[in-house]
Amino acid sequence: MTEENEMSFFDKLEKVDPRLIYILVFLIVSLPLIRPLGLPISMSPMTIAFYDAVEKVMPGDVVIVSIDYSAASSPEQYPQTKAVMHHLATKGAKIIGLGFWADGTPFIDSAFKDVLGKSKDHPKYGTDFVNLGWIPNGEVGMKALGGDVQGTCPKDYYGTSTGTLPMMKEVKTGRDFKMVITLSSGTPGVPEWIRQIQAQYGVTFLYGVTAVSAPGVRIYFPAQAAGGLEGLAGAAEYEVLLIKYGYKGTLAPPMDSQSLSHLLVIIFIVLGNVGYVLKKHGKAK
Amino acid sequence: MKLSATIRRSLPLVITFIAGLLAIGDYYLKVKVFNDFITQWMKFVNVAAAFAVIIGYVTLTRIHTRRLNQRREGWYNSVALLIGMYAFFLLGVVFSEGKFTAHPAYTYWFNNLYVPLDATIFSMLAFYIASAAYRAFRMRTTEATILLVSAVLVMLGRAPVGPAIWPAFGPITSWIMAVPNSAGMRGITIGIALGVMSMGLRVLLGRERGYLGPGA
Amino acid sequence: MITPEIVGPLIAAAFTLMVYSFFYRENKAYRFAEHVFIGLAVAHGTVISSKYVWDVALSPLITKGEAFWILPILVGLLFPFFFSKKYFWVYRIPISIVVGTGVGIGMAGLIRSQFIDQIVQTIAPVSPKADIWSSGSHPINALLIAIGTLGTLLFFIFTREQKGLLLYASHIGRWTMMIAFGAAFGFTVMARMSLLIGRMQFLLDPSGIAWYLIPVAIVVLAVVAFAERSKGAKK
Repeated sequence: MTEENEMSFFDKLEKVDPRLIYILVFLIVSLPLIRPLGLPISMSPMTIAFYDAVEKVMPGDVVIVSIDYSAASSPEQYPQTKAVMHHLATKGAKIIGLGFWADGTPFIDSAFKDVLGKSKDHPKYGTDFVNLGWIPNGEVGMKALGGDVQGTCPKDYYGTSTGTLPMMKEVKTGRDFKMVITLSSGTPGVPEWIRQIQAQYGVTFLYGVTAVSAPGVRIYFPAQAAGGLEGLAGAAEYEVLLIKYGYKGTLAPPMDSQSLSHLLVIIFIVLGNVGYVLKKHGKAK
Repeated sequence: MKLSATIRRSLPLVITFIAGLLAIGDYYLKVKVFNDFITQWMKFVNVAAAFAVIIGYVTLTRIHTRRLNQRREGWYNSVALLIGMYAFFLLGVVFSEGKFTAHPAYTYWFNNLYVPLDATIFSMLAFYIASAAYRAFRMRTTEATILLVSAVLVMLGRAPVGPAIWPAFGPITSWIMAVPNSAGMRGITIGIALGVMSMGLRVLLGRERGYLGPGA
Repeated sequence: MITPEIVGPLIAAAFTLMVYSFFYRENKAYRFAEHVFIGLAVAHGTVISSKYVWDVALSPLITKGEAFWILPILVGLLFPFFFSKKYFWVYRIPISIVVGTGVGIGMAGLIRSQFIDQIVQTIAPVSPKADIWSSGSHPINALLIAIGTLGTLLFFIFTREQKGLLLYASHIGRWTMMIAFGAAFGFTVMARMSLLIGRMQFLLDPSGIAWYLIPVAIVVLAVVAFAERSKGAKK
């Protein structure tokens, strides 16, 4: 009788309205945002490697920051973008913002505004940072960029001739890049940059990816990529490392939400499998 | 323009072959004149490829004006789509004073309409993955069990809660990513590289014609 | 005072909640929001492509007289022949240029970065001082990676019957891949949850105004649910 009750209990659980699951997910994700738990953020070796690589940037080094993600991935990758821009600006790098995803290029302008206060109207626009906007055709565009930067991007995002921007006078080909950082959520992304720029010109290469892409691009570390930020967790860890540069991170409460949501999914997996095993055991008898 | 059927069928294949050969040649031949030509050629291809969006634009217009004319169910959604499409295009190209996406009005609507919609539609996957974890993820075989255990360890290790419960979750996750994940993904990547090479050769040699559309 | 800074986030919140209303059930508000998004997405791609063509080709052609840019513009203008039944073959010209170039570039770079370099990394020198928990250079880890990579490759040999040593290697490959796919699933959960967290951050931000719409949405949902129930009860 008890086994029949257990079976029917787990049968009922299996048939639960999915809307109940959705409400649980909504609550679990929302509550820590209202009332943070304050769980400490632990470091990943990939984030530390990324940070260490950017720490080696010297003032005046030309660094490409490529926004290769769409608005869909912006909750994960825009925090990475801001943190990376802040770190590079602190190191005195000359930042070239560009992108191979049409959806992502407006984020370059937003990031400059959020990190530096202004973009095109900033007094140092053109000397310390530029926004070259979107380059079409993915990997072909990357190849074109490496061969002739100003020819591929004759005007910046705001319509100004690239040749008139002071910092671009010394940037002609991929050989003039000291470092390339791609913030990517798919194709074109990490493998394309490695094929067309890192392998061709020996540039130091770093990536920030959505968590979905992280396992697939890990194979490029450390020989081809010097480090990587993996998802929102990578951004949160990087923010912690940038505290010494006065960076005010905002990702502690979201990481609490992340923690609880992971626990919820694990509980779901366990519940589902306990029911499955018990059902199987019951049928076998 | 009347060309024989043979030329019409063969011309694209020849063009594909030559275009591919030029790209491969640039990689291996370091001759300045040739490399400079290819750099210019790549810019040409970039400009030509940018026109491909016309197809999407015209296709959507045709489908939704037809739906509107026939007053099919949900035709008012087609009105919304067409208004959104043309208004945004006009704002970005015609009324942007040459600034295109950098115009403040365009940026305003991009940030307050496009980004929230895109991000929200994708965020729906969070609910589905939780539902799938509950209803579909079963330890039916040894391999599925290994997969689940690995998934649980990684989920615990990459969120702050794991190391807070047991500090070893962090190093365990790092090891999983550094060793078995790298091994598996590397083997798959090498296999994919071989597959892409063979597929690429088939495309360049004209044995694979799917990209040319129907009737190729 | 109604300013764009207030209206913008309200519009964003309204459309966000319209999309999430799908979880109650398929409804007109969701369909409306979805169609608006599709229109905006295509328009944005077109706007940004227009800017590129203007900057790189049209502007130099018109202002500097660089006539050679006519060529890619003409080639690009062959794309609309996609819609012609009689001259559909003309559309194949620009597509074959783009595909041929892309395939050639991909193949050329692939051999080194995703084939040779990956093999080299598998047999790279080891370092006993490397961290065993995070580095593939530690001798034990390097050996395990080599075995796992070989096993994964041997798993995909289907031209021979998998028996004996090949079968064992194939099993090792399968387990290695299962651990890798488990890690991929874990990261996928992390990614999807991050997207939701981002939207919730926007909706629940106390310094913003988006959260004012949440009680409105709950009330609307409750009214709709109640109305449906009453309709169902009457039937």
